[in-house]
Amino acid sequence: MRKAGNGLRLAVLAVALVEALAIAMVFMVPEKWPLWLIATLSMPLLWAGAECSKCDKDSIRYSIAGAALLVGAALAMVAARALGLVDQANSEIALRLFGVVNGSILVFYGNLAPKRLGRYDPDAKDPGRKPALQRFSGRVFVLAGLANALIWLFAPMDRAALWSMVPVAGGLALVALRIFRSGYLQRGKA
Amino acid sequence: MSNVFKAIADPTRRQVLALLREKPLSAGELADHFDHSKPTMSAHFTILREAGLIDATRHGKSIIYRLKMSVLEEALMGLAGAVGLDLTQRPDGAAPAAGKEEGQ
Repeated sequence: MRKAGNGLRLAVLAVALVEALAIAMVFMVPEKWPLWLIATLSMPLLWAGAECSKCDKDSIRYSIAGAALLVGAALAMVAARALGLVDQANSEIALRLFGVVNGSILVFYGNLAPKRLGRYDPDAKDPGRKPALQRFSGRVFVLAGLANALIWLFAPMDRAALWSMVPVAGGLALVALRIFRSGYLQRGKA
Repeated sequence: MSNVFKAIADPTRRQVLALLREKPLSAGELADHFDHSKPTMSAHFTILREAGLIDATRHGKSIIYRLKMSVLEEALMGLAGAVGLDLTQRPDGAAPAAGKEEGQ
């Protein structure tokens, strides 16, 4: 059971880590300052936008913390390279691991997608349509995440980034097509 | 996770989950698909709810059940169905008595 308020603490810590790393990067690699500026601004803006939504706040904060940790890990890797702490071979392993973690996150969220039920609406025209869409997208994202992780593990390094995008983009296209064909968006209410 | 295995080990409960895959159904509508008594069905619903596989919402006088299975849980259920898993059968092959299932 998650304790209320833990999400907030975790999100504050993770976003603070991103901010600290992004600011440090401005001094370490000043020529790429626009990138560090985006990194500095993106997480607080994303969080502020998410807080304005009607979703469960604690759940949003856990998601923000997860996203911030991912960005933080990427920044930490760049910082380690800039400081000469990791060589080319180690940075390749780190990049592969980062890709595998990304794929695993997709698997994790895809797996839980069908469990996130909204409030039951007895007046809905087809109450089974939205859960069916959730189940379909969940399955697609689990498979796409697995494929993504496997590509990062085994594909040649120079092609892994491009190839790993194929299952994710294909999955997104499939889900978008299914949503469009189901008429969920046109009729508004499922 | 043991709750999930216990829940999907029973063919009746798997059938309930399969029915809920189509659309949300009330307890009465679900019970109409089976020959079991209402207390037996109620016990099945409780086990499924405790395992987190279904969601129960009160609507007027009836309770509406909705499927709440993760992708992994659905895959496990498919596997249990494919191999014909039935942990409710006694070693002598006799079916459990109605209303006495799952320690009632």
